[in-house]
Amino acid sequence: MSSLRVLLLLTLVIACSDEIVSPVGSDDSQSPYSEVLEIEDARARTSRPPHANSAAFMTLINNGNEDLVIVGVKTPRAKVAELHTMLQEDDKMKMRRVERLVVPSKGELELKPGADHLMFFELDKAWRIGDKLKLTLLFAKYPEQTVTLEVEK
Amino acid sequence: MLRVLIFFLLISVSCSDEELEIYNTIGGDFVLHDQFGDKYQLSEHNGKIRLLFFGFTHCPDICPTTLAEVQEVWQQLSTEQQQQIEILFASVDPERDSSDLLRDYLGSFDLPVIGLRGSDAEMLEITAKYASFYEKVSLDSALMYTIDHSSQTFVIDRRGEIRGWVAYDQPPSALLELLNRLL
Ligand SMILES: [Cu+2]
Repeated sequence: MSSLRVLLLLTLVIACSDEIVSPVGSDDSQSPYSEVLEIEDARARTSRPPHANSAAFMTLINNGNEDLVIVGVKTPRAKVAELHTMLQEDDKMKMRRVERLVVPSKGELELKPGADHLMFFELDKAWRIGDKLKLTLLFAKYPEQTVTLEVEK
Repeated sequence: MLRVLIFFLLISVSCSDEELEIYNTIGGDFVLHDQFGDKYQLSEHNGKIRLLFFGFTHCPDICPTTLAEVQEVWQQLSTEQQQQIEILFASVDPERDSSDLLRDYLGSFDLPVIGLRGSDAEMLEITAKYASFYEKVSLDSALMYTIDHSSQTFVIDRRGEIRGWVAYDQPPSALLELLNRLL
């Protein structure tokens, strides 16, 4: 019993130091870590009636020397997933689909409301607050990254 | 002493109301229907401060963000203050936004929003009066179409006049400040 506790504690310590050392297959980590790409603050937005669409946001940090180009996104919770941007002209906000989003080298890309974001259509069912969903980002020259994120308000 | 203080407070409150500009070249009365099918005429609700936003239920980003920010402001008001305010969400998607859909959509927010709808012609006329804009845009996207639209929230006083607005990129505190000067 006590050895189990020690093991648990050890796991916690490993999980905490995960940010400094390289990752060892962390399952449901909110911020998967790799040498090059860090993902922070990943969250999805709850869908509203008619539950036609929803969006997801996160901050991607590129520690590498080359730009990382996101070319797609997918999730089991939606049939269609797209990359979107928002253009502002005076007081008008125009949402448009884009082919790629770039995380600049030694820089970051913030996906947030009113700016670049991930957009989902034909949801499997309503995305409720508290739902956890898996989302996979596809890159041009970088392995795909799967994150688990929580649906928020 | 207390009386002087209250007097001073009253004066400063009414003065701050005066300071807010009246934008009487834009805005004005309109008649639409709410999400329950009842007629809503702006002038019939004079006496209340109105927040007016143009949006649509399929709006994936701007509209829920704006409503969430209004909700944030709303929660900072007393019940007495809340009772002096009406929140209006006018649909610029007459084609898809039935009253049923508006009712379901707005019902998902923890906020008493009056959903307004009219014909395309009516909405074009009203948005033009409010120096606003909307346009149906087909996207190279799964979204059958989206609607580009003005994203500011108008603050309309008890007499039905526009006293200011808050742009999408302004923080909720800007809206709270405007409201506090009219309350
Ligand atoms: Cu979008």
